[in-house]
Amino acid sequence: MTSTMTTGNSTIDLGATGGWRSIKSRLMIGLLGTAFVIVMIPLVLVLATVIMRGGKVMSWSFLTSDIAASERRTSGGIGPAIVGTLLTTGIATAIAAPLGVLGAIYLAEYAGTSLLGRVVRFMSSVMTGVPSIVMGLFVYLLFTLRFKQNAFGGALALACLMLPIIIRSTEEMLRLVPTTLREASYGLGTSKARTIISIVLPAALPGVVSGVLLAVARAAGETAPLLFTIGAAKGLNLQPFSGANTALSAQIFGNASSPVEAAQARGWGAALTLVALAFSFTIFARLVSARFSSQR
Amino acid sequence: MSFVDLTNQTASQSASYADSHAAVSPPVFELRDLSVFYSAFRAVRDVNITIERNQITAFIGPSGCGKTTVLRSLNRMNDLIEGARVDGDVLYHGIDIYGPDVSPTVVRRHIGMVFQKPNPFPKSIFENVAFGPRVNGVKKKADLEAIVERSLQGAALWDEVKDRLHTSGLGLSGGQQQRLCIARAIAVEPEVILMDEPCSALDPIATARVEELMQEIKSSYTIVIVTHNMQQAARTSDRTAFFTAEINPDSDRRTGILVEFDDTKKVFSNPSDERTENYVTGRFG
Amino acid sequence: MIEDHRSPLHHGLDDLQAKIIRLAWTTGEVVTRSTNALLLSDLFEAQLIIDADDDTDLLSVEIEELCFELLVLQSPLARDLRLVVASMKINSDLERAADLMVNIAKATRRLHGTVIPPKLRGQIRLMGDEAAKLLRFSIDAYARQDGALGAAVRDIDDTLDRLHREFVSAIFESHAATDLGLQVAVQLALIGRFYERVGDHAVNVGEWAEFVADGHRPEHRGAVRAREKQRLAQAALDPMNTDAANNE
Repeated sequence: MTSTMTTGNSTIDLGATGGWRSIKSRLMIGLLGTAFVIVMIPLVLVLATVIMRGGKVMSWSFLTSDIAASERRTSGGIGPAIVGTLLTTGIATAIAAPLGVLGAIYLAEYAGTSLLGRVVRFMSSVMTGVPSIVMGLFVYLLFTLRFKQNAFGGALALACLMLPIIIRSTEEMLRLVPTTLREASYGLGTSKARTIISIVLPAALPGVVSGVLLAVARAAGETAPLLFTIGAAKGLNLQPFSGANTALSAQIFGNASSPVEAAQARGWGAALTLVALAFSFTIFARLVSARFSSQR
Repeated sequence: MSFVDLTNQTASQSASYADSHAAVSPPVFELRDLSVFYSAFRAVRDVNITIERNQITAFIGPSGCGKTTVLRSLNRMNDLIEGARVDGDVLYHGIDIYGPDVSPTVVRRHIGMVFQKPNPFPKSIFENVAFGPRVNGVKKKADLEAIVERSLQGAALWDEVKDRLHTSGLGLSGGQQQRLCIARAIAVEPEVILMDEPCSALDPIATARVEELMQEIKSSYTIVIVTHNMQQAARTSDRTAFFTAEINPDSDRRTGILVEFDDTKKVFSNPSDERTENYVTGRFG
Repeated sequence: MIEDHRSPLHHGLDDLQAKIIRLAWTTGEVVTRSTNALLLSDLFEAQLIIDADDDTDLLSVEIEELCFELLVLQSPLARDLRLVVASMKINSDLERAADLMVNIAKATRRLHGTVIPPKLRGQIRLMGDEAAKLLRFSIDAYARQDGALGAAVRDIDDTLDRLHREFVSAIFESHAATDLGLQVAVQLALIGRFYERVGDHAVNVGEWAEFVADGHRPEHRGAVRAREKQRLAQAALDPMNTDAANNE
């Protein structure tokens, strides 16, 4: 079959234009493919290293045992660190999520282009760029110096970190809710507050939830804000307001800089646990948003 | 009959108003020298229209002639646009809906709206219709069920959806979605329904169903419809208002004006104004 | 500047108007030719007129089809709609008028060999001229969309009506006073009637021309009476609803 045909007085050619155009197209596709492979190399290597090294020490007792009293010991685990991470991020989320969502509602629905709105929006984008260690220092000055190191201090630092992320992602999500839905609600004689609660928020919820959970995953992996704020406990501490605590990220930091091989191995184990934790948060976030969107 | 209270307080002053006007009931809408501004820009000027009860009034005209703007000023939908304001009076049963004591929320309970694109809430069919009554304080499940059934029947959708009331409203076809939006609007029992090009996203069959529905509900509601489709205006409406845009000589912006407002039959068979004649015969000046 | 956004419709309407004017022109010509054939007792010319009527019928059918096509495909509105509707009505009036003149051509054959008294001959000539004039005025009103001229045709038609009445009494006089046979008298009375009917058709054309021009459609007196009767009956059935009675 030929792709040309002659009608009356003109020839229609539907064949590929061939030559330079298709070469260019192939070149670009090749370039994009190469870039993709290069990007994948560090990702795969990191994951593979963490799994291989961390997998060696991984066991149920490693996940549950107290932290080794001395880094030279080969026994000991990361149980308190897992609990500490869950505790600090849990409290941080409890503080940052409602505040951030409410702030975002204010920005998206009420502030408009007012001065206050612009200031808040600007500040939260500046805060996104502030290094996390500064958050730790800030909480250290305001909180830790007075109340000693404890899990709540760490949670405060993480909350400061999460807040701008949640505000920005939630505001984006609220803005994505079509105006037509708001108008439909107002058209029924619904007040603005009721419209936001019953229409806008439910419509934006999947996005809001996944935004919050991504902030949580990010906070769970932070080391710097915790350095000065939660201390270094060896045993389990469920009290947020009293006594030092620890976290997975702190364990990684501490063990990785140790010359002792057993400690390094424990560091890798903690790293694997943290990756798994962050991974499960992300999966959870996906599931939650999928569940909400399937109700659309 | 014309007992209308647009304030949030209970109705002693409106009651006395209704008494004093019991003899002559004012029209549903009376627009006096209405101009609508978006910030400094005047989008429409000097509109005078009277809309009577249980009539279908169509607004036609080229794009940018302000017909949608005028429609949205009838239930204060323009309030949602920053910088929008009106000049002149929009009297609803003789009451200025832009008056100081008037609550836009209450205005919209009396004057519902159906939009250009079907916009059901991302909720179930039942919840879509029950939303308005719920907001207005209906709590009992049995009452809500009765309202939902009545509204869906009123919108000629009941038979098609009665077996799947609890599935998503977004799963319906475009025409069904638009009828769902009409059901949602009539569930709050407004007196007036404003329709902003309600069929522009629908196929001819769905359009015909919506038009048929308009004729059916006309005896209970007063309908104002904006449409680009002259045949639709001719088919559905009793009165037709033709708007056009005039270009301001000093700036390049267009301001909408009302050219002619008359019986639909008159406008489409023998309009009095040459600009209307040119528009409906396809000769645009 | 006016842009035309519906040129297929407007070209169709131009075509329609041209065809109507052609039909009217043919009909007017047939009026004059039939009168001449009758007065000159020209059987050959009468046959030509009778044969040519098929072409007129064809033109009329074409006009009908064009009107229908424009209505179906172009949905005309306002003046355009009035033009199509009026053209359909004018079409049938003109077609009827042409048929009436063919009847005169046919009467020419029947009256061949009879001597028509000079007074009646003169009156036939006057009626023929008057009918042709009325057709011309009415179609002028249509072509120029001149409502006033269209309305005037109705008044001008009074002359033809008067001529017709005088013609009928002249036939009676001739029948009584001279040897004008009954058969011939009846033929002549019918001929007079044909001219008078052509005048009525011209009046209709004028009225439809008026409708195209300004949307005003003169009500027929009978229709006005019937409508009044309906309204009173309605009011009697439904005494509460006085609005209905007053609004019409």
